[in-house]
Amino acid sequence: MQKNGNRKIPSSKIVNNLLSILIGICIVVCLVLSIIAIAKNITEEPPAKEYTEPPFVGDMTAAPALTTMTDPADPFTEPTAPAEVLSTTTAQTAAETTETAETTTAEATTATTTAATTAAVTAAAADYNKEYFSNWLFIGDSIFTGLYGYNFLDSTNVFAKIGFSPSSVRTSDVNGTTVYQKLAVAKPEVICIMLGTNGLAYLSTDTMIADYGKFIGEIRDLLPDSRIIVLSITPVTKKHSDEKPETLEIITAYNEALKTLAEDSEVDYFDIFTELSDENGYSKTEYAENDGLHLKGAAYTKVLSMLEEYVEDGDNGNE
Amino acid sequence: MSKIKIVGVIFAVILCLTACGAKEETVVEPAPADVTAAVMSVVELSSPSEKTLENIGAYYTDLDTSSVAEMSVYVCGSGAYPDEIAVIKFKDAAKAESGFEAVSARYDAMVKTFIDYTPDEMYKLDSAVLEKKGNYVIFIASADNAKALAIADELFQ
Repeated sequence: MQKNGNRKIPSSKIVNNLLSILIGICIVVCLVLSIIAIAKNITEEPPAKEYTEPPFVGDMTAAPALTTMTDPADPFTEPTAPAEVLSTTTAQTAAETTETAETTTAEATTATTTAATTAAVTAAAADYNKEYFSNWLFIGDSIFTGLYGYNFLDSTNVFAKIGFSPSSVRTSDVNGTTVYQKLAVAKPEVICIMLGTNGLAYLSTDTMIADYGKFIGEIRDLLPDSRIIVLSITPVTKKHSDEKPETLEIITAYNEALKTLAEDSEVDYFDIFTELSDENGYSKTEYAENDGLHLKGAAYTKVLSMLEEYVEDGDNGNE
Repeated sequence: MSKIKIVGVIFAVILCLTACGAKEETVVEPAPADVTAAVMSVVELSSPSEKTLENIGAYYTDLDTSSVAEMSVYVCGSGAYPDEIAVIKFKDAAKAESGFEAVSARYDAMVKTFIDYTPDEMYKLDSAVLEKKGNYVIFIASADNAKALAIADELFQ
């Protein structure tokens, strides 16, 4: 009788050997995978990101800055907007004026964390006092947006919009606020207006002057104690004058009509055209944006310092 | 039987090690200022002027600045061109969602303004970059938006 059930199967050794081999293979695979994993972790360390300092573009430095975390400020309703950082014309200028900027009341509130940032946000050689304009309101078009665009003034002191004309300023709004609402809330001591450049292409001088006159009358009715200063519109480059609707002749004629309107309305007329233009009446290179119409930062500091001097000295801009 | 157990254990160890060895999903969170600097080093923006949380409200009217963790924003200071770059890191994903809407609103406002004002510059807005990357929202309007995006993407990888 064969006891096949108790008989040891000869193939069991083969099974054992196969298991041993399998264990060996597993150990080897385990080691290899471990080595690969370690190697991956070493080789896949993220490389340090490198970049070059941004170039200086236009008249503003382009180096970035980390911003500070502070409470938001509504551009039109926040009554105590913090002082902002002034622009700079060159990196060298920015570096040189780091200390002199402290003499102005424009305090740099932007926290800077790098040397590049310091160059970018350092105040320019501002020979105007930002605080001096804290109770002024500048009403205008895209050129006046540069007042806060370049960080020369707080946006609370500016009511301006790209495309505004003496007509549309009375009917349009800025972020839902009309100019009359803004005036009623701000009650500025001085109201500085520069409008007309946008209308030169499609509105007649007579139409714009008529609307301008109505606007002045409305402001006077609303704020009879506020001082109103009408600014001439700014010059353009020769190239712009030759190629675009805003020619030197039209601008000159408009400013003449504006001066007459100011005299008739018994408000101040302040000529900034002459200061910003060369001997031929075209915009000085240092003040003209690339489009030949808008202004570089240097023009704003010039105009603001002139305005401050004008009001302080009582010098009549009409003369 | 014991050997079978050993084999089981070894397989378990292998699986464990394989899992450990897998590349970890690291979230790249570059400083917004690094991103804008990298972009502006290769793509020129007209008259760039930096905006802070204190004064960005005039441009990004819908932005809840309290939801911003960190940001770097440059606009065209002169107002002549639609050139702009904004890299805004929000405090969390939900805030980034609403932040994206706020930045989109800024984009829409720019289109509305410049479409008639400077039609020749509209190509910068037509191809503008407007993306949400995790807690970040990126907006770039420049003369070469594809190049700008490629540079920005590098810093998020």
